[in-house]
Amino acid sequence: MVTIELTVINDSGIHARPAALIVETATKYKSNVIFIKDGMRANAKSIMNIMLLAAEPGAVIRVETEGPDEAEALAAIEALFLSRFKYD
Amino acid sequence: MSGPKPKRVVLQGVPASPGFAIGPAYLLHPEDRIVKKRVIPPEKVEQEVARLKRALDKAHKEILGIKTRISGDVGEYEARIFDSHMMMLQDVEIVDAVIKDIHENLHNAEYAYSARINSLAERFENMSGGFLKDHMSDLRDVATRVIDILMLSENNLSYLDVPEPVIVMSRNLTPSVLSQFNRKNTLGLTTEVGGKTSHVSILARSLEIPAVSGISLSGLDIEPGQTVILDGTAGFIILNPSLRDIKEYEIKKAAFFAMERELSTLRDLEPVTTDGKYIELSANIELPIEVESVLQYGADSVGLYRSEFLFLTREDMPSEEEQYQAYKYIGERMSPRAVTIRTMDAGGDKLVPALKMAGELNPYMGWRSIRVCLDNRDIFKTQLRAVMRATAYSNIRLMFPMISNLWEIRETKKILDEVRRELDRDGIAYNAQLEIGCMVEVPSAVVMADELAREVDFFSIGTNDLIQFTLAVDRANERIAELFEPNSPAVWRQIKSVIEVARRHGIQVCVCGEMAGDPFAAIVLIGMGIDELSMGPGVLLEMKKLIRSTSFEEARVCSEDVLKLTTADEIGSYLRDRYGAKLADLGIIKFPGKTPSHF
Repeated sequence: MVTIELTVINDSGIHARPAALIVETATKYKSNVIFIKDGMRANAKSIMNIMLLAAEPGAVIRVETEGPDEAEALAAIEALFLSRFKYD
Repeated sequence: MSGPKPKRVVLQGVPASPGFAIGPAYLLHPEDRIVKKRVIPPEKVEQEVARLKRALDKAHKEILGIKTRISGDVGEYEARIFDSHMMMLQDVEIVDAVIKDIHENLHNAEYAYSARINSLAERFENMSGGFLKDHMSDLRDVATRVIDILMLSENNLSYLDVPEPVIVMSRNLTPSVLSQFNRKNTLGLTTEVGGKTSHVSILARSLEIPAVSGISLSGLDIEPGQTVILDGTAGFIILNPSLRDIKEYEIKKAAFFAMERELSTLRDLEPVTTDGKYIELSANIELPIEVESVLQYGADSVGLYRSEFLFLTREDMPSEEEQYQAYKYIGERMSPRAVTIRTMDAGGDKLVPALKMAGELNPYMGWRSIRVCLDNRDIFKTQLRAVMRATAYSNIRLMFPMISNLWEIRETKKILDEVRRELDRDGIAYNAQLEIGCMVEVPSAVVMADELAREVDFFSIGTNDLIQFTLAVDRANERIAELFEPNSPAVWRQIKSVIEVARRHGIQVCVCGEMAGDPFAAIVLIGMGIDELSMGPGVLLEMKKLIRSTSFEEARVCSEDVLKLTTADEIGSYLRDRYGAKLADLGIIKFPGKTPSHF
């Protein structure tokens, strides 16, 4: 398992559009991708899970990936955060 | 009916789509639909699960269809919200729980589905922060569709099946529901949430349905079928209107239709002078979504797309792909009409955050426009590459701003050649016959126009900068605002000389500054032989009206007179005397005696 802590740095937080991008990215990998915020664990391959996290701008999220391509999955999620979810 | 006469009530909301409507209220409460709970026989469980899956599949197809339509009509960014809706449909959190409920409790699919949505909605309600509303409305939009499909397959009833013309009053109407309405029977629309820029308002405007948002149905004493007046222009509704209200709005409605008809007749007519000279009429835009109004006003082309607006509202640089999507969208939407994309014109009063542009003492004469691009080759090349890729699909032209010497245009063309070679190397298509042009807005470019004309396919005169540089008047400095004088003979003579140079070299010449949209100035420009006028979309139809009632020969005589005059005041009064009454008659200006505006 690999893990990293990421901060939501776009202007509007993880609303529906960024959530869709996260799910789209996570489902490309075989590994499990878990987001943890305030003790709440969310499966990043489920848009409802991601939406229920209610991650506002500035929120800190721990991302865990586990599986055959865990490093790649983690890097892809990190890149997505750093890009401010591309289109916001 | 017995009892006292119901009281007349005016409810102020927000104007969302212009126009007027009078008709019976039709209350739409999708979330109030009663989903009946049934227990299914155990042997029918698999059949029920299959019914659920078919409904999800159908909903997916419907949303995909809406997404495709919205990305064409409104924009790809706006359409992306439907990606998240499709994911919600397939989400394991929802689907697995619903199937489990059907299996274990023998619940019918619509009940199991709506129960699951309600329990998720409850979790949203306990959520802090600003997401609640958005998430709820997304979830409701998806859920309503699925439940509708399930219920339709049962009893073939739908609340969308409006049998007569009505004013639809809803809490939260979603674009997907609105797009399924019978347009003919939807006289008007009110919503509780959403403003002028919400998706549903944008859609209402493109469907030309008058709409008011911000009208809350909670606690409102209204019966279905009760008469309502809707004023989408001012943004309010009247419940239980008086007879006088109804008379007044019948007139307003008729006048609105008449105006729409008159303008729409103009929309399809050509911008030709009475003696047959065609003046290309085009629009200046800043955002891709403005293409819709450009088309609505019947412009020949987009004469100036200010691409820097892609860069102004964000902290980082837009990627090549993002830029490409924006350029491609405008190009394809306008096709086969031309679109002139001006490369990033940053600086002056338009600071690009990602470039960390500092405030300067003399910003208009400072580090701006093409100078910034030539100093940031990577950023410039990214933009040129994005534009070039988009040229493969539509009639795009490329224009460079603030060229003040030959080196700048030659260097720019070298960079463009590098981009072409890279695209060739990567096997990416582009239009090899792409026309390029430059803005003529610095006096040194006017002086050197003869040499510049050999380098480009067209000129576009930017009058705002040309005036401020010619007269040495900073247009942002209010203290000298009166000195900013478009009618200065020094300005008119330069414009005339640029048009003549273009004529001699056989290249096209356009005016895309504020002067193009001023009726007095436009007559002089036409008389001087301008090929194209580019202006804000809102004044296009009036300008077309003016062109269609002006003769080129007469405008030519007028422009020659203007060139003989020696002060701005003389030129101003000459134009006012000669054209003021005529423009007032045409309804283009209100007061014939008014001095031509300081554009």
